[in-house]
Amino acid sequence: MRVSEQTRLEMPGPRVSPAIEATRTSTAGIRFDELAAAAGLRVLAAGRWPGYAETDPPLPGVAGFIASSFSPMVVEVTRRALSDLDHQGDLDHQETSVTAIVIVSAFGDQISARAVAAAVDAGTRVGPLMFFQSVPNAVAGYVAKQWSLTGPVVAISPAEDALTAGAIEGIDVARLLIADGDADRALVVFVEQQPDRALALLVTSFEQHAFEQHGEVEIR
Amino acid sequence: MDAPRISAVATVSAFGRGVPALHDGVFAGRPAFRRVDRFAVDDRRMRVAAALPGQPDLIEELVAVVDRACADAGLGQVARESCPLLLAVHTEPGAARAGVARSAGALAQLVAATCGLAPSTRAYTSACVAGTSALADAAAMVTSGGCDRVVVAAGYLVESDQFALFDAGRALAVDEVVRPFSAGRKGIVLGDAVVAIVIESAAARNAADPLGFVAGWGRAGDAYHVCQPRPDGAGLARAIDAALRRAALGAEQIGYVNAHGTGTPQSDAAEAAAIRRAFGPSAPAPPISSTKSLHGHALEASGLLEVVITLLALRERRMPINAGFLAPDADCDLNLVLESPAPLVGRYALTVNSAFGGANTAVLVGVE
Repeated sequence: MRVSEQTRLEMPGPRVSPAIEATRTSTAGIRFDELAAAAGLRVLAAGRWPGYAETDPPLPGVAGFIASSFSPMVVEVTRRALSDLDHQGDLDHQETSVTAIVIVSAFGDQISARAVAAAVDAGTRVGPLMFFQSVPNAVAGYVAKQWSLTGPVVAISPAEDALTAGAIEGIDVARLLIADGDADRALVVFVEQQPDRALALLVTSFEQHAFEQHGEVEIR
Repeated sequence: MDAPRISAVATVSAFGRGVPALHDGVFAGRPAFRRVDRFAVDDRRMRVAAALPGQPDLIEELVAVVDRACADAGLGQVARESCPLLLAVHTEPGAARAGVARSAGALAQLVAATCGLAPSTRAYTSACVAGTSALADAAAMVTSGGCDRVVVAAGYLVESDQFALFDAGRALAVDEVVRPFSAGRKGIVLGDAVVAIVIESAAARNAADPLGFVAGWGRAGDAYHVCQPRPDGAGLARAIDAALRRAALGAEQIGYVNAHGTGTPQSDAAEAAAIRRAFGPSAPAPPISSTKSLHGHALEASGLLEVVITLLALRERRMPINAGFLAPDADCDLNLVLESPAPLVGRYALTVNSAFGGANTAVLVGVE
């Protein structure tokens, strides 16, 4: 589905990259750019899993994380999003920005949690690597180091699926962190398993973006 | 800016149900650690926790503290109906053994509905900073004018899965004592905490007389490691700087610091570096103690319990001790509170927390 002319008129500004455009047609019909815009946020970059091709390569593994797709999905969609940040000066500003990381998952790393519960119930040994991957913000530390993201790290659980009904909660946390001043950008990663799906958005406020682009505040 | 008000607090801890039990236990300075009998610990490297007797139910305890805090803040049905709940928990308690997926977010909605609060809830799952991240967001929400009041709650009750994970990660204190910032510290002891705090805007209609204020707050990341803190403490120091900046206070005005102080070797040293960095190498070091040496580490709920203890310390003008101390560690050059009574000087105190993923928070509490 193509973005309508009407939408283009409503979304002036820099060229929209293919990845961002594609998020507008996510499988569940959620327009993440519209959710973000309604909260006063501009999407600077996006990446998702599965991707847009007929078939994806296998999900790359991540050193130190085992048995579950949760953390590898976060790392991969972050790579796809931040690799996409290649236009209009947004990349330059990324190096000086304080970027928050918001992990949004209603059900968390279900595979890891069930594996730990099964081991405890059976009286068998729990692997030491399961220790840190049992909390959703552990992988945020991985991507924070990889991409030099020094803002707040937050993990939330919406009541419903993070990529559909729960998505707005992640947008709202990013909006609050930026408005409150502890970050000027936020990497928001929506991630769920069974089936595996993830989406990363790099967002900033319209005001912050206008300031970065023109050195002035945009009147909206 | 009129600082967000703390209108009411309610707690459950290993010292018992209610703030008076917490108060008496913390200021007595005796750890609440006991042999775990909720689940089998025979195969673990250590066997104690700061746990209440019996098998308390997390949802029942959460509902009880939220209801108690709302009642103490004088919130009637109408006030509750427009009041959001921000809840910090690890997961929905039965999630890992349920046949269908369950979210912490749905648990927040259940607690809110049971207590007559607004359906606009949020569940924070960011481990040891979950509770204080929720509190910082609540303070931001009432300061920006979006809300008159917010209930912040957090709960963790010691259970078998986290006990097994911390044991597997060799993070539990094998000598069964928490020794924050001390030579010979071995690790953490898990603990129970269920906490609710009512935060109100200074402009809120019918606001209760405040117990204190959230004078400042800050959140920042390490960008360093999956589970280790930045050794130089720069991330936590930036969170402290942000809290001081929001409060428009200088570091010298902080009368007491309630530390994260888990009692693990690397984490305590990094925290000490952060405190020195934030307060300046030459300034007089603020008195500091980690009350995890008394109430254990309640993970998602620990930070919020420590906010309540920080408030109690300011109101009582006395500081709880850093228990379990054996001898100084050159990597933790701090002004530790080791003997009681220890009078607290000033109207402001700081409480800091750090978590996996390099997440850091600082909350600055004030009293009139």
